[in-house]
Amino acid sequence: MDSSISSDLSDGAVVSLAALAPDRDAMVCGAPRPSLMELGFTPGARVRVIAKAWFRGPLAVRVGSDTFALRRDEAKGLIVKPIPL
Amino acid sequence: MWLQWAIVSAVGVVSAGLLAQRLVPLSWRITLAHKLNGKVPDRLRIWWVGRVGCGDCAPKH
Amino acid sequence: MTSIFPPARVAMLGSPNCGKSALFNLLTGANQKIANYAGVTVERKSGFLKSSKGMVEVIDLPGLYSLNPRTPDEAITVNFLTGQVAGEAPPERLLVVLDVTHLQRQLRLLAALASLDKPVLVALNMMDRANPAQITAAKLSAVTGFEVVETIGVRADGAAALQQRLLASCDRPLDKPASPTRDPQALYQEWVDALGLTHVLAVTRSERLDRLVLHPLWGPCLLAVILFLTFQAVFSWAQPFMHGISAVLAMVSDLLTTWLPEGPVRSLVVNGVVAGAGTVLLFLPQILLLFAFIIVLEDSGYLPRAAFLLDRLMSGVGLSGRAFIPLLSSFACAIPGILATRTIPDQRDRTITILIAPLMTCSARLPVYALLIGAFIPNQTLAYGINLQGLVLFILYTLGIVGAFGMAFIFSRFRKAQATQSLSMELPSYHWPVWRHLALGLWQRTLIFVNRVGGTILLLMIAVWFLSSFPAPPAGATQAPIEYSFAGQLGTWLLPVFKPIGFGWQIVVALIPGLAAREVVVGVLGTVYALGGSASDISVSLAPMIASSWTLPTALALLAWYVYAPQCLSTLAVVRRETNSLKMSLFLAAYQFALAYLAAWLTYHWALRYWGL
Repeated sequence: MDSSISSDLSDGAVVSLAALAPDRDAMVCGAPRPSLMELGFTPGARVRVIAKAWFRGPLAVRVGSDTFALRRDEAKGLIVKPIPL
Repeated sequence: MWLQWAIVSAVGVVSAGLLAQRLVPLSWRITLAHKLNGKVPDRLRIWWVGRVGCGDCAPKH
Repeated sequence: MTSIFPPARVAMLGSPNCGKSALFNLLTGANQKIANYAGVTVERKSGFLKSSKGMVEVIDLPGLYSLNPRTPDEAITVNFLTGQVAGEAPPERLLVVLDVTHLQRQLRLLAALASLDKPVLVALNMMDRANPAQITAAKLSAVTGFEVVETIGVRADGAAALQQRLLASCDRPLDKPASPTRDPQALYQEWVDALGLTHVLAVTRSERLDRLVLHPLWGPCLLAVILFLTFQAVFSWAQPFMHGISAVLAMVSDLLTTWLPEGPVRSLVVNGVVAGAGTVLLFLPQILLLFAFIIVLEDSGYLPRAAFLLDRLMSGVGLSGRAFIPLLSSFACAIPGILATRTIPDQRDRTITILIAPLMTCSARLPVYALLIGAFIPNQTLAYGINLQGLVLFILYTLGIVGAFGMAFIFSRFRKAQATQSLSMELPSYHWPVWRHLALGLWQRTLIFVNRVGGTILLLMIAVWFLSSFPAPPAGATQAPIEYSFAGQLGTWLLPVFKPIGFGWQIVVALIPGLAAREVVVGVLGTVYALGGSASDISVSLAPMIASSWTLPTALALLAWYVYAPQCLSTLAVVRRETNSLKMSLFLAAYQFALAYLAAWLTYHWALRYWGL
C-alpha cells in the first residue's frame, strides 16, 4: 500500500502521501477522507512533506498555510500527484 | 500555661475542621449538612459544603 | 432586548490555535491559562460584559476544525451550537475568531458556521503577524458579508475594538438572515477565489527551522539536549534562592524560639509550622524554574514538535498521538492532564492514558526528589560539565516516563484496538516567547504553590504536629518523645510492611499525610525530625539530619518508591469521576502501589549489595 502506483515520480504519476519525497510539492487528487479534508487536504490543494520520522514514524506535511503531523496510516490513504519540477 | 493549652487546642479544633472540609468527599459533606439542618447556623453549613473538588493544584477546575 | 431579559448569549468559536483564549481573557478580564498548541481547551468558560441594554454573556467553546466533531471536545461545541446541551439554550450570536496567518483553512469553518443562520461577528486575530498587503478586515468583510474586526490577542489593548463592536452589535435586534443558506463548500470556494488566496507554498521561516528540529537524527538529539539542560538548570540555578529561603526560615525559627516561652505553643509554631510547612516552601525556586522552561517551550511552539519526535515511540506502546498533551500536562499535576484526555476520541486510548498519567513526575514530587538528592547525592561535576545531582533528577524523571510507556504497552495488550489511531496534530508557526506570558505563568504558579502550602499543607502539618506530640511519653521513657506519640506508634505498627524495602518508621509516618499532598512528606519529615531533636537544637536544616540518620540504600529506595507510588487522593478522585468507575481508580492505586513496592525493593537490595552494607 505504501508503494507508488507508478515507480517513476518525475513524470507526475500519482502516489500516496506517505510515499511522497520530502520537499517535493504535490497536489491532492481524488476523494480524501472527510477528517483530512477538514484540515485542508481538499482536491487541488498543494502539499509538501517537510519531514519524515524514522522507523515508519509520522510525517510533517505542509498544506495551504498550515503544517500538520500525520501518522503513516493516515497519510497512506491520501493520493497526491507530484507537480513537475 | 493553661493559656498555651487553650490556644493550642483552639488551633487544633479549627485546623481539624478546615482539614475535614478539604479532605472529606463532597457527598459525605452534603449528607452531614442535611443532618445538621436546624441545629447549626446555615452559614456554617454552606461553608462546610462549599468547596467542590480539588482546588489545590488546579483552582480552575 | 431590555435588561429584565436573560443576557444576550454569544458563542465564541474558532479552530484550535487561533488565539481565541487570549482574546476571551481580554474581553472578559479573567486570568486563565493560555495554551499555544492544538487541542487544549477542555472546559467551556464564560464571562460577562455590560452593554447599554443589559448583560452579554460570552461563552468560550472548545476549538474545532469543522462541524463534524472528531473528539468529545468538538462534540460539546457542536452540540452547544445546535442547542443539544442539556440546560443550555443555543446561542443567539456567534463570535468567530480567525487566525489571519492561516486564513485559508479557517474559511472552511466560517462557511460551515454561516449555514447556522445566526448573526456572525468575525474577529481577525494575530494581525501583528499579518502581511498588510494581503488580507484586511475590510477586504474579508466585503467578500463574506460579515462584520469583521481586527484584533491582536497578545497586546493588552488588542481587543478594544472587538469589545466595542461586540457590544454594539448585541444592542441591535436580531435580524433574519437575508439570503437563503448556501452550501458551505461552494461558499468557501467563492471566498477563496474572491480573496485571491495564493496556492503556491512559499517556504516559511518556521519550515526552515523545522528542517532541523524535525530531522530524524538531529531532532531527537536536540530534544534530549533541551530536556537535559532543563534538569541541570532546575537543580543548579535554584541553589542560591534555596539558600536564601533556608536562611530566612532559620532566622524566623531562632527568633520565635527566643520570643515564645517554652511550651506547646512554641513547639507548634516552630516545629509544626516553620519546620513543617516552611520546609516545603523551600522548594519553590525549583518548581518555578521547571515551569519557566515548560512555559517558554510551550509559548515558542516547540512542544508539538516534541510530540512529533516522540510519536513513533508512543504509537509503539499503543498510545494515541493525542496522548502527548495530557501526558505533558501531567508533569505539572496529573489532574489537568487527566482532564485533558477528553480530547482523545477512542475510549480505550483515553482510559490507558488516564491510567499512566500519574506516573509522569508531577511537580509535587519535586520537593521530595530535591530533598533526597540534595542530602545524599554529592554535588559533583562529571565529564563535560554535567552535574551529578542534575543527572540523577533527569534519571528519576526518565524512570517515570519509561514506567508509563511500559505500562501503556502492557495495558494495550489487553484490549483489542478499535479504530486506527490518528495523530492529525497541527504544528503552529514558531514565534518568540511572549515574556508577559512567562511572567504571568510563573506568578500564577507561585500563587498556586503558596496557596497550597498556606492551606492544605499547613493544616496537615498542624495535624501531624498534634499526632506527633501526643500522647506525651510516660515517666522514665528511654527513647525520643516522638516515638510514643500516635504518629510514632502508627509508624511502628505499619513498619513491617515497609521494612523489607528499607523504610524507617519516620518515613512510614510521612507517607500517610502524603496521600493528601505529596509535598507534605518533606514537611512531615521536617516536623518529625525537629520534634525528635533536642529542644536547644531546633534548626531547619532537614537535609543534614536525614543524611546522617538514613543509609544511602534507604534514600535510593524512597526515591524509587516515589517515582511510582500512588500518593494523591485528589488524583484518584478525579480518575473516578472521569472514568465513572470506582474500580478503575482502585485499580490505579493498586497497580501503582505494586510497582512502587517492586521498584523500591529492587533498588534497596541492589544498593545494599553494591555498597556492601
